[in-house]
Amino acid sequence: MGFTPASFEYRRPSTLNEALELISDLSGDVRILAGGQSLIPLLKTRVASYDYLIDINGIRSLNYYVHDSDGDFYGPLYRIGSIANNDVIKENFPSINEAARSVADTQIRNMGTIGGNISHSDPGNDIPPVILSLDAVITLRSKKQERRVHSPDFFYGPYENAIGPDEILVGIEIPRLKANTGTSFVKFRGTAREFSLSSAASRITVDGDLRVSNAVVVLASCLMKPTRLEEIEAELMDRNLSGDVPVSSNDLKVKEDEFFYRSEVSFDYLIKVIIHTLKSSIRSAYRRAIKGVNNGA
Amino acid sequence: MELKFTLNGEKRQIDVEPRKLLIDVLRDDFGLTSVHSGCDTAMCGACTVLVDGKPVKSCNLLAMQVQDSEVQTLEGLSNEHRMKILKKSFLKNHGLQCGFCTSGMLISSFYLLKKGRESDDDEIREAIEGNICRCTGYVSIVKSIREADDILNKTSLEELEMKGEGR
Ligand SMILES: Cc1cc2nc3c(=O)[nH]c(=O)nc-3n(C[C@H](O)[C@H](O)[C@H](O)COP(=O)(O)OP(=O)(O)OC[C@H]3O[C@@H](n4cnc5c(N)ncnc54)[C@H](O)[C@@H]3O)c2cc1C
Ligand code: FES
Ligand code: FES
Repeated sequence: MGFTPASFEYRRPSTLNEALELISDLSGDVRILAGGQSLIPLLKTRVASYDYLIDINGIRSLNYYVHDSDGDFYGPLYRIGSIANNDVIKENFPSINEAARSVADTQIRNMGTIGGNISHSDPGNDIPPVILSLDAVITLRSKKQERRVHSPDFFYGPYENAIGPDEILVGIEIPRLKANTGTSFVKFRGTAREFSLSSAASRITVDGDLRVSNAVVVLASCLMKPTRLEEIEAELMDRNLSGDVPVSSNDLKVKEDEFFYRSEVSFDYLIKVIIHTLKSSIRSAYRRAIKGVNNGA
Repeated sequence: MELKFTLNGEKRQIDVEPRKLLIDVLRDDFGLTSVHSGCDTAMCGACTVLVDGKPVKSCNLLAMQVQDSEVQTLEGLSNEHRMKILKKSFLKNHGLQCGFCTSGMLISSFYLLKKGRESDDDEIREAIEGNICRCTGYVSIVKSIREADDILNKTSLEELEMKGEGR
């Protein structure tokens, strides 16, 4: 027998209301268990221990995905593996497909959930930058109330976000994209098994002349939290990006204390990697956006 | 705490401590030693089993998480036609040396081959992305899966049935 977590009380509610009662009424350290792919390693190494784990896997109503004319709706228990294999998502939101496929490996994706990936808020998690780039709305519920948090207000920093101690993330809503919009997620891994050095999520809209009419560019992994790069977004406006993507380290207005620096590479190298990741993601989103115009869509 | 699940086709009920990992229940309580503990950190995939038909790493699951689910280990998959073809192909193509990673490799590739259409080499490599092998250098593993995939998808059902290997 290898690592075993410290003892805890285990609860497995079968309804959301039951889970909300438990999380508000139990005293002591209480934690939600979804896929467990981030939580169990912490328990096994005893970096973390809790008095109670509330396993939400028995709440079937939290596992759904709906695509309709208003947008896309995810239940928190929808598995990352289900996202990666879903052709509707791949067709409509390539960036979500790319982020899901870049999470760990098949086995971990089969357990890991979209809700868990967002709630965990490790700077290296792949779904948060995409969520931010798509202007998602995250719904949190407690016994007393339900509230909708806009993605820019959700992420606070490493492992910190808007979820209160008695709240459960119950839904993620992604608004429908405007016409002629392309999305993309790119991450750069130092080695196959390490967290990425840098990741970027983009959403680019073009006008009939193939010029950028809206640009959203998010940088993550190397930062404390996924962050929109407004100077770079402004730089892209009204441009045709068929040639080079005009992004250089001079446009990177990130303050020193915003970096989450866990790798052993030099800072100069990291900046090169960041610029490369941003350019690849912007280029790919732009290509997808102009496809719409060229197809007369 | 009471855990009810289906293990290799049989309904099981067992009292487990909630903190116990699935791998430990499978190995210690049920003697299923095909489930290997390679890294114990969710990295290597030697502990891969199927839960509700999908590969997961049993060292990174609480046993309680498979409540009401179906779990299959290599022991329970041995009579499956696809698994027989895979095993033969691994032997023939030197898809293993020490064999420590092999049960996990077989389960990950079994899941890939279940989809019933040919896979390209990228898909094969992606399917075993979560499985580390310290011996073979992977090339012979990809070759083994490639050949099993060819046998399964290029041979017609009738031919297989004639050979008594019908799916
Ligand atoms: C070897 C390995 C490699 C990995 N590589 C990557 C990678 O490349 N990219 C990546 O993004 N991730 C990676 N991960 C992390 C993992 O894939 C994700 O963090 C995982 O998807 C989290 O989802 P989960 O359902 O397993 O969450 P859990 O582990 O169950 O929970 C994570 C945290 O979120 C909380 N939580 C979960 N659901 C809710 C909810 N609905 N409401 C409120 N709180 C909730 C839990 O209390 C816990 O604090 C890796 C993990 C491992 C072990
Ligand atoms: S022992 Fe489970 S992944 Fe290595
Ligand atoms: S054959 Fe030895 S680890 Fe793969």
